[in-house]
Amino acid sequence: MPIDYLIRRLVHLLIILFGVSVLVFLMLRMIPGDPAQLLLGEFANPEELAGLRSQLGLDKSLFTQYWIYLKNVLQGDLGISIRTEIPVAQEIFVRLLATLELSLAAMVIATFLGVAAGVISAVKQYSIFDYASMFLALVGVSMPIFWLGLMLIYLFSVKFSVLPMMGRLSMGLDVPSWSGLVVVDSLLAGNVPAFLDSLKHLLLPALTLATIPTAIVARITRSSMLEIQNQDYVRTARAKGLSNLVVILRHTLRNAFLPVVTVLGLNLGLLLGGAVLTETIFSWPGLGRYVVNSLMARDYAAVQGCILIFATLMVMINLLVDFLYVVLDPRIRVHD
Amino acid sequence: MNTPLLNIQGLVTQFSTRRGPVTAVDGLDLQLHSGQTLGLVGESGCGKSVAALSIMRLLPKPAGRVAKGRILFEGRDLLEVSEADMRRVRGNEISMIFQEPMTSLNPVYTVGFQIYEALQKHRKLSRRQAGQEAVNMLQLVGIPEPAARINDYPHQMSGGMRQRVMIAMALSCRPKVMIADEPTTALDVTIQAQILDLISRLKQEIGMSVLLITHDLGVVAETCQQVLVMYAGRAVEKASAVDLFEKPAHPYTLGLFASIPKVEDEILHPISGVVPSLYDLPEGCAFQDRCAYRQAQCLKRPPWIEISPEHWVCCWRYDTHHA
Repeated sequence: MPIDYLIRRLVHLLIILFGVSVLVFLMLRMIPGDPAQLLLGEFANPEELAGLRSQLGLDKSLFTQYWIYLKNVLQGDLGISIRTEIPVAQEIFVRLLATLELSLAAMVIATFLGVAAGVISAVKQYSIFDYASMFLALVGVSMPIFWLGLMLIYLFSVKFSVLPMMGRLSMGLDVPSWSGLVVVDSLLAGNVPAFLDSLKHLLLPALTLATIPTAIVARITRSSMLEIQNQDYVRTARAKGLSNLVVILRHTLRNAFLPVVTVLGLNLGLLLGGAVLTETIFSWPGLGRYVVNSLMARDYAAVQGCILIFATLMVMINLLVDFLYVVLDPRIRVHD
Repeated sequence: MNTPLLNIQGLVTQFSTRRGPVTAVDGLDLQLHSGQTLGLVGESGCGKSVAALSIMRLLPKPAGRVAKGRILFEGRDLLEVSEADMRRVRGNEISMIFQEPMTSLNPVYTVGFQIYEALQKHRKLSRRQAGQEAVNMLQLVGIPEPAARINDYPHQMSGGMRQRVMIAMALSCRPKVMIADEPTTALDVTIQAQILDLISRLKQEIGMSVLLITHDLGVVAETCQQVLVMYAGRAVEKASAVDLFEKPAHPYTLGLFASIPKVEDEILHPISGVVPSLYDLPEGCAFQDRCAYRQAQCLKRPPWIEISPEHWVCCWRYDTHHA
């Protein structure tokens, strides 16, 4: 991929981030609710309120407020949370890593399970497996996440007590924080008990979060495989005497993968920003829950910071997907 | 004559459809001898390609299946061998090239890799040898600068080039039989001639037999020694190319020759009527509704009649016993 293309995409990123920052800034201030009032409570007197407002800079004009905000952001300062009085950047960073761990685990499950189910369904079209997996996929996309999460907790944590119901690591276990992903850090530290424990903690929330993407990926893979299976070049591959597995994996799946990659990218973006329910049910200290709580408290700086991070991640994922297109299909080239 | 390399006996291929089973190939007999080029001629939908796919056992599943018959290749019945054995035949002993060079190559792999793949599979060559052999094959089919073009993707090549690559791929393992299913139909006329020349030349060099499927009598005249004419799933006439062009006998073959456009003649002479639907073929001869020589007997299946040595016609018109 040429450097100038990358630079152009990065400039796009900046423009998008600027737009997002303006929109979020304005929208937050349009919703009813006064941060000062929420902080000081219902019975605060007007002098105290005015004092806090001026301390937070809320008495200045919107334009001035935005200008100050923008100057700070450009210096890497996302502001200070009015709830916790900790720098927002610091808070987001820790939670982002927790969300990342959960989302990546869910994506791994969705990719392997979804693609495998889709491929087998397509190869064995109209078989029992096909009908069963497509029925499950339909159930998967239609099931409410919070219900599924609660059922999994009930089954595996309450009834059979085989998996923990909340958190990332059991009490008493300690893992150094190198990457911020507990599973990775425990493995790097060679701490096997902690590694297994963190995997156990990760399993239920990741499964819950993976349900919808797995179902979508399975359906997309199946339909894409069915389309490619009938292509002339698949017949050519068979006419060469290649084995079934090679024909399916090398000559069909590889070509069927483009729409799957698109869906995977979109879903990763959604998971990163939309894991609120799963994070809440499993008390996962992630970003989704943090945004919702910040929004409730009208913690402007925190919400703005999170949205900027989401937007950045989304653009990065899109860039990654575009890059994967070029890798997967030589016909796709970057045009000026 | 000696034993044929490929001997098809009474091949019946059916497709199951929503409207019931359809017989796409109905009792085909075909003999391909070593070193020979046999033309399988007929219009679209007459069962030529289905016959070829039956030989390769590549009929679209689960709809298509061979209901009856034998396909003897060097004495063994290909319909009886295991799928694993069949894979050793495909691309190795019998290879096939298709009508559409534009879509028959996988767009995401280099042409070199696609040739290399077959070589590695069947000839157990090392990476290096197979790579070198792939370059040699491209050279053989007349692609300039083969060592550079080997890394091209199919979309970087023209239709004629791609068909050359297909041929290189099909011939890479030195097969005994090559089935060419309308190899020049999708190409423009000058390229057509080049590809046909190439096939004829390589046939000599490698010493293989060719089953050439075409609807183009011009192509047959240029390349084939033997011809078999098909109509609505059945063979209707077989002869040497010379005999067929000099004394075409079956009314359908006559119609085909009459319908070739001629420069001095401003009017086209199509065969009147349309091909009957395979769902309801008439009793007896399938061509009767369009035939100028129709007679009462045509309601019964016509027999094979040898009108001159090795020139067979499936038509009541030549039946001297009952006339």
